[in-house]
Amino acid sequence: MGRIDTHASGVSDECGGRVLIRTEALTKAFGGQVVLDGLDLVLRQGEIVLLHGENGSGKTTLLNVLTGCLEPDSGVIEYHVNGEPRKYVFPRPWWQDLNPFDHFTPEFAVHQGVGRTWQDIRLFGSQSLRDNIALAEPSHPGENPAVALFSPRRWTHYEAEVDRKARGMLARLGLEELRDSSADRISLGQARRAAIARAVAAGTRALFLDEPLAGLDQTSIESVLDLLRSLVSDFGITLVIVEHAVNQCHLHGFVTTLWRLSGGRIGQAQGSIQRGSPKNVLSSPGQEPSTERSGWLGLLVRDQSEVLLEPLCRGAVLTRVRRPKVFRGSSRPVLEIRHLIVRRGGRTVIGGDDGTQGGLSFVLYEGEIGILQAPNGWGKTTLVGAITGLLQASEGDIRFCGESLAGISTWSRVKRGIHALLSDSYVLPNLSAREVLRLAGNPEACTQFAPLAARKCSTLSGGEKQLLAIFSQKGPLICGALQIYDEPFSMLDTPALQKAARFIDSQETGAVLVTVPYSSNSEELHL
Amino acid sequence: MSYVAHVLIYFEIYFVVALSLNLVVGYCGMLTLAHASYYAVGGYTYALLSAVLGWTFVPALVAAVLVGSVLSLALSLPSWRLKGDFFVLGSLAVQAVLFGVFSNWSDGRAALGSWRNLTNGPNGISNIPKPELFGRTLTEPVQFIWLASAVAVLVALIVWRLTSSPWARVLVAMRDDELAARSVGKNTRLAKVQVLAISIALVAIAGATYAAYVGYIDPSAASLDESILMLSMVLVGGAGNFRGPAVGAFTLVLIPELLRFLRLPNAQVGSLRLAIYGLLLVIIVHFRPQGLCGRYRLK
Repeated sequence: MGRIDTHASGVSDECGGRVLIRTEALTKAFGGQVVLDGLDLVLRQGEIVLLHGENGSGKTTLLNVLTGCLEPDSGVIEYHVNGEPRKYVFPRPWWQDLNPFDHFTPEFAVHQGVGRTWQDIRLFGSQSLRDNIALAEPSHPGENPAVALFSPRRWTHYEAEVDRKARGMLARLGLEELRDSSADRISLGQARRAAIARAVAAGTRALFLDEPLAGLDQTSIESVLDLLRSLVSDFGITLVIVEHAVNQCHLHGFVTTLWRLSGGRIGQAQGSIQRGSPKNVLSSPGQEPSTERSGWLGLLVRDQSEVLLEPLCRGAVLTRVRRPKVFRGSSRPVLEIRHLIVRRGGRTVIGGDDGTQGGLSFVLYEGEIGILQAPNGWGKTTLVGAITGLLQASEGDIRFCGESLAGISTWSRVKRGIHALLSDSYVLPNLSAREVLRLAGNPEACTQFAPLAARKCSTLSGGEKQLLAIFSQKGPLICGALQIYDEPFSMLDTPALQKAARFIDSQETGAVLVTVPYSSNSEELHL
Repeated sequence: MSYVAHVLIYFEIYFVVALSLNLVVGYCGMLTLAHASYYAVGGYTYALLSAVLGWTFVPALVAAVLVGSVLSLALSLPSWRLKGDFFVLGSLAVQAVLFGVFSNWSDGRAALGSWRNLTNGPNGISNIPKPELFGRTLTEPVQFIWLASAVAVLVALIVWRLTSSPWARVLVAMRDDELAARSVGKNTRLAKVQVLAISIALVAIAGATYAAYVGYIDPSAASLDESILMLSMVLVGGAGNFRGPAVGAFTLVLIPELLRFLRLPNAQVGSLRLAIYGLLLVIIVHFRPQGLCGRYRLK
């Protein structure tokens, strides 16, 4: 059984603040798969923790357990965040659930000062940004229907104060002008900042952030980091950040403590957290972040590959990787996009509003890997939707192997050989990994998923699901002339990233289009 | 004049029904098929208290509200665990149980209102006294319309106050993403108990008003068809706002009345009404999924 080595690196001396959360011997298993195995940890006030580990090591599970979203099988969790300490011992006897004031749930964790954000953000889409933040106000009298009905004056006074606070928070985030915007109509970076602000408005003192930088471009990453710094300096909030390898380099110099969750099945390190010096781990050669720095780009570009850069509208860059022996000359275009404009609900998403009146145009030739780097909100997913026929192009033309795709349905496009892995579509949750790969016609890949092949997809971690989805893009059913991957690397650790890049590179027929958020990696395009 | 008043009273009763159902369906996104059975709970409570015990309108109405609110726990407690389609099935179970109770809690040898014959079975309860207000008995539809209007305005005011309060914000957050709402500290279990208790209390008012107006109630008031009609009103009008239930109730009360002028045999009118509901729902789901005046699209 693993244990935390709390004195391993002297971190407890450096961050000797008050203990906020302590766990003892936490275990959690899913269908026999042990994810947490006797896990002990201590979170102290003022710490900024980076929780990292390989795909499937149980990072999200641990975060879910510590924030009350998931009950562990056994162990002890103590909260000391808000005044009175609270101790939960698992497994809990059934009669404790009958007590309405003694539940282990997310709302009780929030009352203890422990909050969280979600990887998929989860703002309330039909409400305005202001309401999203105002809603989080704890103990609002207007949330009691009796007060709402019989004493409106009481809650309207309170609501005015809540409104002032919400506006102040939005002004702090630079989102004041968007206060009345629906939460599902703002950019990814803005939504992530709003979600963090919402958690703070709920009275959180220890905030768990699930991949706060995922899918963000460089500008948005800076904005989120600025917000996190201000939370620490101005509000004294303790942070625990779960972040994938791709973005860990951005946290360098910010994180004070590292928790490495080893999700192995055997050995002393299983299910335990090892504390270490952040500087050593984040910057030492051979570790995840330094590998990620060159990242997927280095993996996709072979030694003799020709790399061409093509600027597109609104700051996007199309990098053409022409692999030797695969690229067959620029006479055979696979994908031609001419003067494309896509509008959604009256808003021009692609082309048209930045001086590029002619819309978006580019051509992808046979044997090329096209890497489209663009900022958040540029319309990468919209472009993928337009190519696959899921969204209607407002103007312009999309041609595939010389044939116009206008009026051709999505399924006909798939039959013609256009296959896309959308950023939000993973795998069928009720099938096992083996079944998914067989369904996709790529059973050979089962060997790569050997330890996971029998597991149901719903029990896989986010990174494992993403890798499985990538491997499902091959086989007799999917032998397309155009493979599109929409942000395929956002959740992968180094070994998975290498596998994914090798897999994409191995596709030697047709062309490949990969979309990624614009980030500092783009500097390396100028190789 | 009497005919117009009659149609108007029916509209007002169904307006109250649709407003109350909209709290659950529109604001919480919980599709319930048990609403008609709670409507009948209100009607039966009123009928028993006024016909058997001789209570006057207002106390009997208050009792109907209380009984409805307490029985709402049969739906709200399972809703803690049942989500989506499973909640719909749970509500169907509650509807079936209550319908079974109204149809079967009878004994021809026992007096109405006794422990052995509470509902009089399929024969229902007749001769429910007309309400008496300010010393006047409201026997004619033209007289009753004032009472029905007062009830409709009162319920509309209650719903308007509630839906413009921070409480409704919690309901909408719960509808959008329950786990995220819990993760900002909102007690969604309590919110479900509250909203179902209030919604069912309001529909019990509608049921009691109906029983008082018609003077008769039987188990058909608690039938699944009636629940589907109520749900159709909310979906046709539009869920999640104030106008939708009014438009839905108006449309679906008016259509069968308009069909009368086609001079079709009564048997065909009934079938036609059902066919039109079905057709309307299909057309609306296809062309306007959020309903005629709705702003929320049910998933």
